[in-house]
Amino acid sequence: MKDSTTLELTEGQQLALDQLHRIVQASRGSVAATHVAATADGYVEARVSVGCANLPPTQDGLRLRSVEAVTLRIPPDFPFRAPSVRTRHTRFAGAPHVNWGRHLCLYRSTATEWDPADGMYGFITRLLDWFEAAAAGQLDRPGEPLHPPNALTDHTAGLLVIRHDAPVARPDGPWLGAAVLHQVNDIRCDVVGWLAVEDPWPDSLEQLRESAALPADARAFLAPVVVTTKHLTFEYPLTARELVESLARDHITPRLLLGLTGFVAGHNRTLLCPDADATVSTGDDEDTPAAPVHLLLGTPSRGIAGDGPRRTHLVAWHLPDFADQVGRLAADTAFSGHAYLAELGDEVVRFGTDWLDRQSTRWMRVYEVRPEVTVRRDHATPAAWLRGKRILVLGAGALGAPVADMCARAGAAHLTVADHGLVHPGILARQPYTDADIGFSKASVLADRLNRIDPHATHVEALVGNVTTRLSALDLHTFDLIWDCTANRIVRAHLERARRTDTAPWPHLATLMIGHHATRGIAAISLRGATGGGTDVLRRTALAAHADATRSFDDLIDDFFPTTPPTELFQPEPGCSDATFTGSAADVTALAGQLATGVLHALAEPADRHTMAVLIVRMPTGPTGPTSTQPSGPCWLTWPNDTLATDKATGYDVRISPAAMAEMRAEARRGARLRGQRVETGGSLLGAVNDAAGVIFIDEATGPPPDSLLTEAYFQHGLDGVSGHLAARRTATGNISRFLGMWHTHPHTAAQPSTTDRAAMTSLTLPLDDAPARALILIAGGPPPVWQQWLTTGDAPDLYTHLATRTVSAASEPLPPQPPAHLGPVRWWPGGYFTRPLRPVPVPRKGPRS
Amino acid sequence: MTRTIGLALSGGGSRAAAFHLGCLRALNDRDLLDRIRVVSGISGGSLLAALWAYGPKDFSDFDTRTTDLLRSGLQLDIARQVFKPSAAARNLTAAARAGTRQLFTRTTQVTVARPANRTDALAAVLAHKAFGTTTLADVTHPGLDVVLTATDLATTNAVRFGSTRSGCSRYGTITEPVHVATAVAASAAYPALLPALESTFTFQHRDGHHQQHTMLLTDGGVYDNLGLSVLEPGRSPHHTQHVYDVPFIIACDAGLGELALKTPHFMLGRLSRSFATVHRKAQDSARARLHEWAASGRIDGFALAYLGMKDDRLPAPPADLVPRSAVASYPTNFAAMARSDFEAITTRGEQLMRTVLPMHLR
Repeated sequence: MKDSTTLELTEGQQLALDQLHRIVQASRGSVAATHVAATADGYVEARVSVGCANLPPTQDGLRLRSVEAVTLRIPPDFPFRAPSVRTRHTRFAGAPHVNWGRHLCLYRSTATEWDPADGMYGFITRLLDWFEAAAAGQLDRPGEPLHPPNALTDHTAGLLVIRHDAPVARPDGPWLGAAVLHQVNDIRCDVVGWLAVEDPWPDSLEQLRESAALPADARAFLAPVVVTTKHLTFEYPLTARELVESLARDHITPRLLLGLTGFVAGHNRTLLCPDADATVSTGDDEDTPAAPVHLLLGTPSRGIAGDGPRRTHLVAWHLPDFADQVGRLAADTAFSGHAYLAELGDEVVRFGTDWLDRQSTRWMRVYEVRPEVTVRRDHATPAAWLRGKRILVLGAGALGAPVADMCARAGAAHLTVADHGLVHPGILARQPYTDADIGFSKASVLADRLNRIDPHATHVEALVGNVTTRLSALDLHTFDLIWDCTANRIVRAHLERARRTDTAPWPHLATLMIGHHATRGIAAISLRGATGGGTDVLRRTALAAHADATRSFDDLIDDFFPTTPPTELFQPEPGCSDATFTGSAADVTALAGQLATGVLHALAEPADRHTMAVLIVRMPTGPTGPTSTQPSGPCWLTWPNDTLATDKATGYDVRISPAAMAEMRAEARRGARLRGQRVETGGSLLGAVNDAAGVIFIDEATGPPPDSLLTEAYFQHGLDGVSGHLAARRTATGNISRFLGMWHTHPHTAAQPSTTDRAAMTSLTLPLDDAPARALILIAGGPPPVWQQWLTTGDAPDLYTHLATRTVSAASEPLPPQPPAHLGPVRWWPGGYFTRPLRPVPVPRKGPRS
Repeated sequence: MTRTIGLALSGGGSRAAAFHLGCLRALNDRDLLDRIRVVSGISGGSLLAALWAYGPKDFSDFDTRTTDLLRSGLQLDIARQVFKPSAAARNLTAAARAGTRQLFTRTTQVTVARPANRTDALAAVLAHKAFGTTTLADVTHPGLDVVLTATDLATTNAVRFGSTRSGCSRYGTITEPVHVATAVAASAAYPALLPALESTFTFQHRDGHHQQHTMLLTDGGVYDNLGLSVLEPGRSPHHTQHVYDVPFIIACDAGLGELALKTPHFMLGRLSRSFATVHRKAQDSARARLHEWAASGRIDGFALAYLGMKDDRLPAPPADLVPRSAVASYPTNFAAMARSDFEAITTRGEQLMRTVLPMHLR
């Protein structure tokens, strides 16, 4: 290394040379540096020789000499810009990762791959790796992202966004035709369709728009397209002459290019200027093209991943307007089919070819969104579930607006946002609206904004008005998912009732809520076919939170399910403004994002057992702040479906929890084990009646108290310990689960009330202090196969349920400790756990446990 | 039905066996027995585990047989077996045989004084009354595995007798079939009551070679009286022969709870009390481990029925709950059980299990 001291070097370049010097010293001859010189543009160039003698040649690999010389170009702002490397020869031209014949491409993305701290050490390592891969023929390994052919783009040439999968050339010849371009603005056009020359082309602009599903006012035109059978060199030529020459190798002659350009230009004229006389026209009109001339050039190339079939790589050449004229002239003469025009045609083609030769290529910027060559950034995330789905978002507020935004960005096909509210200044602190939106309907403003995200894929509709009344205007079954982001009890109850009474199953339903200080969020999920909606799942959540022995949900109970209503309400504006929660844009967006991701994850990977679930998320603030040892992570609770019955008196849904079914079944199995197959048993039911939703929840069942009477024809519910048990459960569940009624069995007979049962219903002789006015009578029974099936496999038995209203006063005298006289002498058994038959003592019988 | 439950049955003589019988009644009524993947037993828990796993398929038949066995007891029969002529003859030749095995010169200082002892007798009684020549592989219920744990006093290692394999980490796997009666007797030889069981097995070591070892087997509860360690989630197959990874654990714990206050002045009393203390401490830490596994998400849930549980801690006790005081004083031997004791202990087991199941297994 010489001369480095006499050069004008920046601090960074000095550092680079020092590092290079140390590398050369340490490399024991395998790397040498010579000829360091400054260039006019402020770079320092160093020639570096790399020993490649030890790299074994391979069939596919580049042929390397024993020492390869390259030139490093060190920028003045090294190490904050990566050096580049080029060769003085062009032996590597055409290889992958060699641009413009001489430039070795070492980094796909310097932003992530170039580490300034590693400096020249990292760079030289990368260079050696490049040579190793080049020798092994692995510069462009299958499975690696493709290095596309390189075209130096010109920003003034315009921008092309390619949306539709592109045609591929047949093996026997190039694909010729046109691209349907949607002109979005002065510089940008979107490719929204393809027309092969042999296909029928639309005759009018309306037809063209229709074929590409464009709106009625869209500006659209055609652009000539050539897709070659073979790929060109690895980068695209700068001059049109070079381009035309390389195309000619694939039998695409200037004559063909001119003809195609002219044919498309002529058709554009037909589409865009239908009034103008296409055959005889003169003057300015003839010189001005109907549309800009973008020549699209496709070459076969790999997609982004692996060894799959070759996809078309597209570049676009923006031609001067004159191409329109010369092209049409060529088309009208050389391709007219008239022999008398042939000579003139040849002349035009010759002139046109000369003209083309003098042009420089102006490559347009091309942005790819073709599904065949791109991968969505959200493709492996839960949000991918939303793509192409129909979504309904109820509520366009702090939760609804961000959730709707997420759905639109994820590519939902249809989105309906419903809200009755108007934008007012207070909500701008956390909801995604602007000052200009004040006074307008939130749903409309939101829909307008979301419609602009991806108008090609997502259509957003606003539903303005009261959700409960406007919901009937929608066919809910056409949706895939309903988000209830209203945080409104009335909406929830309405949905629960509508969902219950609908004969067809509803789409998935997700109910989202956030706490009073936006530190916690809840998402209740009812999958399609779940027995419970949002009201039901939130009720279960409250029960589970109360039942948790570790008390880890106490904060949740205080925030969402308080036993006494909160006294401090947050009313941000004077007057009758709705009470709301405190929370920032950061809080609500974070919660909305976590809850939405959780819900979508549950939908994308449904478990086989549960149909209902709740996700609880806590923000990393407050008691779970940085100094806290308490984990703030998300928490899931899940439930399988309830067993359903319909109440005979009210038509309400009776939802029997698996726990209650299991307890009744355990008692029935226990009875069969101890008291024989035919003795009835029974006990109490705990739960609640929700008249608004029309649902009777059975949470728990208990066995017969010890002073019950169990016979083959009759079950009399005892009282021992019942009050205490009910009080204990009431306290333990935060008053959610209360005395609901009584159950008993009819083993091996129909689940229908007997005469005795009917008589008992009106009196409901359970003299409890707080006996409710109504009680549910549940009878589990069924013919022998059904009954036996229940005991052995757990398939639900026949169920009879009746919500009976008490007509006789509850405060009657204690129950007689024996069966009613009209049943005659029967063998009866006590309830409870100590079980021996009582009287009349039958023939000596060896009990199973005596 | 997929088997996802690990069932642990603790030690504690007939008291434990009766308590577990009650627990199994509750599990039968809740239809959970078919979901048990593995049952792990210690001492009295081993007896009950074996009676169920190798007993009649029908639950009522199992219940009747077990009731009969526990009511009549094993103790009198054990005493009779010891004085059988064949046993006396064995005793006469014991010293010579023990000498050839160099048991007297072991550095562990463990000696075998009476090879044909009361624990051998227990094995004989168990074979006669319950298990015959059934071997550990002959489980009645398809898909169920059994692990009965004893302690080898010679090496102080845990010895696992299992339906898939038996052995200990030190010597390897036992190659010959093991009788259920032997495994139960070994596991049940509570040190303070019964002497160790001397047994010789052929082991296959990890490196493949075979070798005979004589073990002095005693109560498995010396280490883990709850039988939980074989159910511990995430055990490495490299370190143990028993890996089950069951997401739910049901533990039946016939432990005493707090020991009644008494001051033992005599040697025998102190010995007995120190054994009791070791068992109680081991059991306390095992209960703590269950809570830890559940809290850290290593298991999905557990249900623990604990004989010594304070009655007022039950969230929803049945009206006719058998109080702790009615059962806690029952001794941990294998004597015949009075009907009232038997019913009280089994009923408490059934009641506790029925009460805790809905709280934990959804």
